[in-house]
Amino acid sequence: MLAIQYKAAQSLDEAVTLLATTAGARALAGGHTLLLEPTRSQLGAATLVDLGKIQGLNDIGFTRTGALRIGAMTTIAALADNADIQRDLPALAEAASQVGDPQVRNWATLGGSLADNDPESDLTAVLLALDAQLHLQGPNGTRAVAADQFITGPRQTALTQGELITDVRIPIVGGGSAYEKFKHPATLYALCGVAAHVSLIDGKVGACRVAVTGATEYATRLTGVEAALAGQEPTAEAIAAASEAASGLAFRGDPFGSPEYRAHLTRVLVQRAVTRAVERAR
Amino acid sequence: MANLLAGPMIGAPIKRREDPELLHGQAKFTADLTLPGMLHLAVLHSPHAHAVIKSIDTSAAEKMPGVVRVFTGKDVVDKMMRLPVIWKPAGVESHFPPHPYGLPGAQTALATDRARYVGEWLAIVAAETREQAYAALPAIQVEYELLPVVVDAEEAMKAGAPQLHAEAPNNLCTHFPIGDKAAAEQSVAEAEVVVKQKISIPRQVHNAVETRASIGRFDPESGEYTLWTNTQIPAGNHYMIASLVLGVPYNKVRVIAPHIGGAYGSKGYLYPDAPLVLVLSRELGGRPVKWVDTREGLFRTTVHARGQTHYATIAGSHDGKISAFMSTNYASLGAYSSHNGPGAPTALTGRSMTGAYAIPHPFYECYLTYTNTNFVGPARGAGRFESNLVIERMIDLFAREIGMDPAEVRRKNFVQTFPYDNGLGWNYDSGNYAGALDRALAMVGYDEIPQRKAEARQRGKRLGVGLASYVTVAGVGPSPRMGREGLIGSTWGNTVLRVHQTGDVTLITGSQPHGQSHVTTFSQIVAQELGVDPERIEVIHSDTKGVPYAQGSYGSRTYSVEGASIYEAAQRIKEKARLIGAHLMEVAVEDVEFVEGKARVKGSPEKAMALPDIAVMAWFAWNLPQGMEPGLEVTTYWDPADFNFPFGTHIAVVEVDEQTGQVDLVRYVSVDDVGNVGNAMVVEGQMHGSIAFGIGPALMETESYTPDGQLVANSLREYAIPRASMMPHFELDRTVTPTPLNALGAKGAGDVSQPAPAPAILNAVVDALADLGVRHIDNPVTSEKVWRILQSAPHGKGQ
Repeated sequence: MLAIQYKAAQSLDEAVTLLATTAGARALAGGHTLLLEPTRSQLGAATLVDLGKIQGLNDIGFTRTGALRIGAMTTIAALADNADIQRDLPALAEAASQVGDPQVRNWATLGGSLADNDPESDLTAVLLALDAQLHLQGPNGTRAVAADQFITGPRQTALTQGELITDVRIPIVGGGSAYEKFKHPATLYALCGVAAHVSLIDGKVGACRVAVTGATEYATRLTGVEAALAGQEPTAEAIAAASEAASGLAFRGDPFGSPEYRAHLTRVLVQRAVTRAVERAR
Repeated sequence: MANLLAGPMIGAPIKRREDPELLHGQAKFTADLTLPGMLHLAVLHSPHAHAVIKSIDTSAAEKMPGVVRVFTGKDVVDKMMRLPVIWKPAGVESHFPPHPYGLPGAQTALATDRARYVGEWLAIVAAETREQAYAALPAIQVEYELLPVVVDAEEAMKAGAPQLHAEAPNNLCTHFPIGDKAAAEQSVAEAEVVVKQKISIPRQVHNAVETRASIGRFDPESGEYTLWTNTQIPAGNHYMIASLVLGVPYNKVRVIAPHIGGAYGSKGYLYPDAPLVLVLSRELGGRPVKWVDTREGLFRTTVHARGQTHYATIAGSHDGKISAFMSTNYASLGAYSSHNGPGAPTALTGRSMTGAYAIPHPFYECYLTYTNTNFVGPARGAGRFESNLVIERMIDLFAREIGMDPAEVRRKNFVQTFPYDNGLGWNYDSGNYAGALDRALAMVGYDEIPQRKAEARQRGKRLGVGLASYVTVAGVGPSPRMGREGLIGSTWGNTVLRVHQTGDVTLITGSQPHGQSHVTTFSQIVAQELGVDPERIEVIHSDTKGVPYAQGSYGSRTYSVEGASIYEAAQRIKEKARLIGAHLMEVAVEDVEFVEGKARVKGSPEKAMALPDIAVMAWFAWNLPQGMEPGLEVTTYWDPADFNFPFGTHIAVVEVDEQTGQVDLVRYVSVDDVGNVGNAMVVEGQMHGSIAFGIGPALMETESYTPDGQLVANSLREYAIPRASMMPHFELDRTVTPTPLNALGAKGAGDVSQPAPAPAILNAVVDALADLGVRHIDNPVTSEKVWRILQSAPHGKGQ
């Protein structure tokens, strides 16, 4: 029998305690993935700890060091609509505006999406490309983890039992960013999504981060592409040549896109995302 | 409320009376209903496509918390008959498992000794809660012996294929040929130009938002069975359940269809759950039982649609005239027939095969087979989606072959004179096919397409334009004709129309609404004819206790058949009101007319009696004309003389991304002709729905089976349906060619344009890729399919 309990945490400390001490406890942060699970009998006797009532988890603002701090319970719609994000982190705004549909964007949250780490999530690739830091709080206190270290595998993250994402901090370092998405026709997740951030120094690529989602087993940096672009003048030819460095990965397949097709889409979207990021960096 | 005197109510685009209840979340669907003492059911599906069921052990499951009983096929096999098939293809030999009454048979509600498709029902748990019922399923132990599997309709006929039914050698249900094969073959042999193409149309899953659901209650005191189920055909379910499945008196069964969350044809059947919940309630001493399907269950056991493979030939001359069209179609019924399974691939597809064109020598044949798959049955655009996809693709292939514009080939071959016998069994009532084509071409700016193609190329896009004309049989239908076609049943329309002594009106319709706006449009007919405010008209439907035996909603029949019966009922009310009015005013009958809700003396409009005043006198019956019955109520049964044939032309404009192969539908123009309409806004909504229901199979929807009989798509994560965000603004217009077949001049509108979008989109994509030598792409045209074509194109042409 499915016996699902519901508890609305009033503070982060309470949520952490509940999650750490209640058997089968799961954090509810939008619920679009979590609440699909009972039909698949995966939840069993779960206790859902709703994070939606906790104050201060959905603020967006700059830190003293100039990073943008985004509360974990910020909805995807709020990310898409935020003027600071649109101006300074256009890749994030672009990705957020293409998540699911309006109803999904109004309920789903940044933290929920990252903790879920769906292999086709839009936001994971963007946070990798933007070098985001995730701030976590758990039974053993708080810590910060880089996006690169947070994502550890398909649907696997660095989160430990009872640990929550409290906020995400993204450095504002100039340059330009862009997100390109090819929608999965069934799920509207990314069949393939590529996020790029490029800084230019004297017209040549300086710092550069490119990440893919949907096409590979889980969101990952395309370090080969980054290396191929570094120091280059970002001409169409150079960008196209660099995109070839994305070819060696292990790609996923399903009836909507074979591994071969996803590999191709990755190359195309790398070119498109990098090209637009460069335009914004100029 | 619209001013009744300001203009006609019939056709006016007034807002739906049905909407407030739905928008406020007040409407009750089957799953919303709870009866005292109700138990919940969960079904164990066969995980294997073909297996002997050696044993089923339910003892562990019956000990699970909350479980009351677990039923298997053996528990119910002698308590209910095999489900019937009520469509036996006319004029040909056919093979079905036998129903006890000598009818063709479908499946038993629960399998007894053999499972023939994945999802077939093996056992059913009754428990205190839904969760307890589902939790008990894994505890049922089934021992299987696996059998070889066949999933392809054509393979099923070959020697050595696994056999599904002893009654159907080579898995063949029927071979259904129509037209003069020899004449068609000779015409092909003599033709200047012959084009052949294999066209495979995969299965489509209807995917209504609401899955199927049933609640059954047996009352041991009265012996009455009451069924709540989301069916498009409550009366049909009532008749079949009472007479052909349970074998109980007709008047001991009652069927109620609550609100329905979408059907698209998928709920126009007799499914096993409907009689089964009644039997189970009886076996459980009268405790009501409720079954609500899951999405996975829907994919496995609610009818699929389409699933046809055509080998088509079109022949003609270089001047663009087509002389012959032939198609051989291989289609599967599934493991058993659904209750009307043979209808779509035989009559509906076959007789519609030549579309809007006057083709002197048509021929069609269908091999209908059993395979280890779920049933196939009609979906929105039933049978005609398939025929129109084939003919409209073949017209384009022929145009390409002779180097003529596809619009010109269509114009040259359109049926011009009416009525027109198409040589395959349809008699087109009226039309102006070139009128709709020309309007659509003007709307899309057909002459400017080459310019737009060049401009799109600058953006890395290949622009393509595709036409699809259509003629869709609608207004099902003339009952004698349907009987000859093989339907065991009737298809007329019926109405009870009652004007109460207050002037309020009750309209009882045999039709069953599930989104078609019966309440609104039917009220409009009565409002106009009787001069009554629509808000004072109550429309009763969907409960067989009180609604006479009737049909349901399917086959674009409602407005042009049921509506015509309502119109006829209103005329009879008007006539009786006129006679009573003349009598009471002491005026000669011939001097009185019924207009604007009054019996009025001709030439003296001030001398009149309003309908409520007449109605009260009709019911009180103090002073009626000699021999007249009291009351102001009529019952009409209206059987159309023939089907009606709406038509139109749709144009799709697509852009293909040269790098990714993605197809974007950038413009969609449709010009439809459904004759006179009941409510222009409702008809526009139906056209939107039909287009959306065609975009799906054109670009993304597909279901298939692995060789071992497993479904490829089991959920909406694996099955794509089009979203509003994927559709352009639809540019709609209508021409109006009233049918002579009913007093409203109305033709069907519900699903009539659904057969146009898929061929229009396919033709557009092929047009976009034509310079690469692409002739045909089967639906759905996915991005990867197009990308592979672009990849394989000769160097330089693809970029």
